[in-house]
Formats: sequence, C-alpha cells, structure tokens
Amino acid sequence: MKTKLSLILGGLLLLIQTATSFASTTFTISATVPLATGVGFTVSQVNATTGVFKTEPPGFTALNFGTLTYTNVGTTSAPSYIFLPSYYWAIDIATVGGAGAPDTTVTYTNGAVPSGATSTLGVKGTVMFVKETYTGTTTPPTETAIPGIPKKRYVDLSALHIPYNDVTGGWLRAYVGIWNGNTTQTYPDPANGQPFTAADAAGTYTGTMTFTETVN
Amino acid sequence: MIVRIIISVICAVIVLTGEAKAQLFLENGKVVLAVSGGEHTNGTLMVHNTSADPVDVKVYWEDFEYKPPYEGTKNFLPAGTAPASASQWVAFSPQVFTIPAFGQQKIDYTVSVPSLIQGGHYGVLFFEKNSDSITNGEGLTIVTRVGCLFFIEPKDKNKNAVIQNAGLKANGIVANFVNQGNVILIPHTTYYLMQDSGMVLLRGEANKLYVPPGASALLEISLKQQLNPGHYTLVVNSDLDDGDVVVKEIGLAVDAGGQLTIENSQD
Repeated sequence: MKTKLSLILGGLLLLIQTATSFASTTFTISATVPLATGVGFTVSQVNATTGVFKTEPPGFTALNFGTLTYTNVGTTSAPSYIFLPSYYWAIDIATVGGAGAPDTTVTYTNGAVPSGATSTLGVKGTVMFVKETYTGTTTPPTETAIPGIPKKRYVDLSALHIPYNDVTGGWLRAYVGIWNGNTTQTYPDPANGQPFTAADAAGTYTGTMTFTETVN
Repeated sequence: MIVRIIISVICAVIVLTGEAKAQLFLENGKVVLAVSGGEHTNGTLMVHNTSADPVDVKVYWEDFEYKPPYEGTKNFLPAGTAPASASQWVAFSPQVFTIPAFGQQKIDYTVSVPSLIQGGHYGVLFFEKNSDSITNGEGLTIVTRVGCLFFIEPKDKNKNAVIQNAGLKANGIVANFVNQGNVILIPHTTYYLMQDSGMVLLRGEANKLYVPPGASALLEISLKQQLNPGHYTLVVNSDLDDGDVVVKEIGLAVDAGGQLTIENSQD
C-alpha cells in the first residue's frame, strides 16, 4: 500500500516539475542608440607645385600661408603678377554620426587686416569641398566634388550646409587656398575672387573658418 | 557598456574609412523635453575625447533656427536673439575643461521653465575645441565644434498642420506643408498611389522637412513611373510623432496623351 502511495506521489511530483519546466517567460530586450555626433579633423599642407601632402600634428588649427611670393601668372609676353603662397591646405573633417547623421555647417568670419587695407582675406581666399572615399587599402582615396557646391570665396561661406548624406561612406575634405584666378585647374577659382596684388596693403590678413556638427 | 561598444565601433569605422579621426564625440546630439510651466528638470551630457592628446573644450549656448527651404539647414544665432530662444532657461556646468587623452567629461544641465510656456523653445549647447590663432602672415584659424540641440516644448503643444496647394512638377506632385501649431514639426511623409480599382500602384517617401511654427515648406513627391490613362488617388501621410498625422488625398487623372492633371484634393 505504502509503495503504491509513494509511486502515485512520485508521479504527481514529476508531473508538476515537468509542467513547471514547460512554463514560458518572455524577456523583452531593447537597446537605444543615442543621436550621437562627433567631429575631428586632420590638417595637411599641400605643395602647390608637386601636390605632395605633409600632415600636420593633431590639434593643428592655424593655417598660415606664410609670406606670399610675387608670381607671374600671365605669360612672358603679357606678364601678370600677383602674390601667391607656395602651398595650400587640405582639411579632412571626420563626422561621426552613429544614428544621428550629423550635418556640417561651415561659416567664415573675417579677422585682422593691415592698416590701410581696402579688402579682406574673405575675398582673397578660396575653399573647395570634396568627398574622399577609399576604394581599396593600397590605392589613394577617390575624390568627388560635393554636389551643388562649387569653389567659393571664404566670405561666401554663409552657414554653408553640407548634409551627412553627401559624405556617407567617406569623409569631407576642404581645400583652402589663396585666389589665383585660374579657371582651367581641376577646381576653377570663382570669378568674383580677388588676388593679392602690389596694390594691397602689406601686413597680416586673418580669418576664422568654423565647422559645426549637429544632428537634425 | 552598450555606449562603449557603439563608440568603439564608430571609431573603428572612421579608422577604416578615412584618415581624419573624431576628436570630440558627444553621446547626446539632441535633447527633447516635454515640460509644464514652472517645471525644473535636469540632465547630463557626456562628451568624449577619442584622440591620444588632451583637448581643451569650452561649452556655450547659441540659438538656432531652421531656415528656408526647411530641409534641415540651420542658422546659428547668438544666445537670446531668436524669438523662440531657450537660452534663459538652461544652465550648465562646467563651461571650460580639459579632457585627457581618451577621456570623457560629464556636463550637467538644468532647465527652469517659466510659469507660463507658450510654444516650443530651442537652442544648441556647443562643445568647441580651443584653437590656436594666426600670429603672422596671411591665414585661417580653424574652429571645430559639436552641438547638442535642445527642443523644449510644452506638454500641451499644438501640432496642427495642413497640406495644401497641391501642384504638378516634372514626374511628380508638390504641395505646401504648413505648420499651424506652436512647435517645430519634423514630418516623416510617406505616400501611395491607388488605381481606381483600389489597387496600390506605388509607394514612396517624400523629402524630409523641418518646419517652424507659421512656416510653409515644399513637399516633393516623385511618381517614379509613367502612368496609364485613368483616374488615381494619391494619399499623402505626414507622421508628426506621438500618433499625430496629417493626411491629404489628391485625385489625379491621366489622359490618353499621358498628360497628368489634378482633379481634386481633400483632407
């Protein structure tokens, strides 16, 4: 009798344990990626003759063109002399989006001009925005102009907006130089720019270019 | 832990895709608050230095406005100058600091809403990396900054909007999205085109808009294929979040020559 009772109780216990093990519990798993945004940049000095890049140390922000050289941009029979630097600058801008896809806004503010100057660095300098994309680990990056944004004078950067989509898969590069009036180079100079000439006041011309990253 | 993984992945992607590396990384690019009059609320932002060098950072507030054609372009303005500025409501600390290599800094903010709040108030908290200045010769000083947008809106905000003045464009339809409410609207607009039989012929997504109160922006809808002669209904659906939706039905007709006309429209 006791044996039968034990078997029945044992069976009941087994049934309860089996039922318990089949009971299901649902766990909800979720993760929220914040609308993050980040910015960083690398500055390189580019030799105007050879096109060779020399990368500056991290944190380099003062893009000095040095003392300009009086240069003939005309011909021997019809010389035309303007002041030009021997190099220009390339600024590689890294925008980090995560889920946020930050847009870039670029603005420019004129700084100091020498006593007696009648124009600013804003009309003497040019900037061209391109997208750089690596297609392989051993080849140089491919370069394409940002759609709808031709080469501009610094002073024409009035809250210039570069959507994240325009640089997705690559990164933004700004070529920053001094106007030389060349309309046949890869990125022709804007027609409304001005050269530094012997008529300009001697001294220091400065400005500030601000790159702003925000989500929308 | 998740945030660390995300930051590591993002940094790895940057290393693989380009030479330029992020130096300032802000975890929170946008803060959206629904508040009541007289409410005080606070929060924290986290900024990272993802470089191997210390970074000096200053934090400051500016106002911002979306500007026409309202596709996302912003104007940044001095604090307190925009009509819907929240600059007087937000306090933050610290305002100047140095983040060590691969370090991070927490910034605390407090939002103090006045007793009466009418409409949305906005602004951006900028984190700017200190820059060296040109000392001689001609040259540019480069400044980089990341911003956290603040959207501070009343809990009982008015999100009214209409889609009106539908017209034709090459291979598509345009219409004005008019914000009649008191907060910025960022509609996510989708559409579908129905044949007379009720069958859906095509679906799509319109351009993204960022429309301030009282402003009107152009919705652009592309009809990606040549339509056969007949009658169609274009249903435009602008999702304003939180269950708010603006719907417009536009009746279209295509004649035997393939000419598209708008027959009627209704909300």
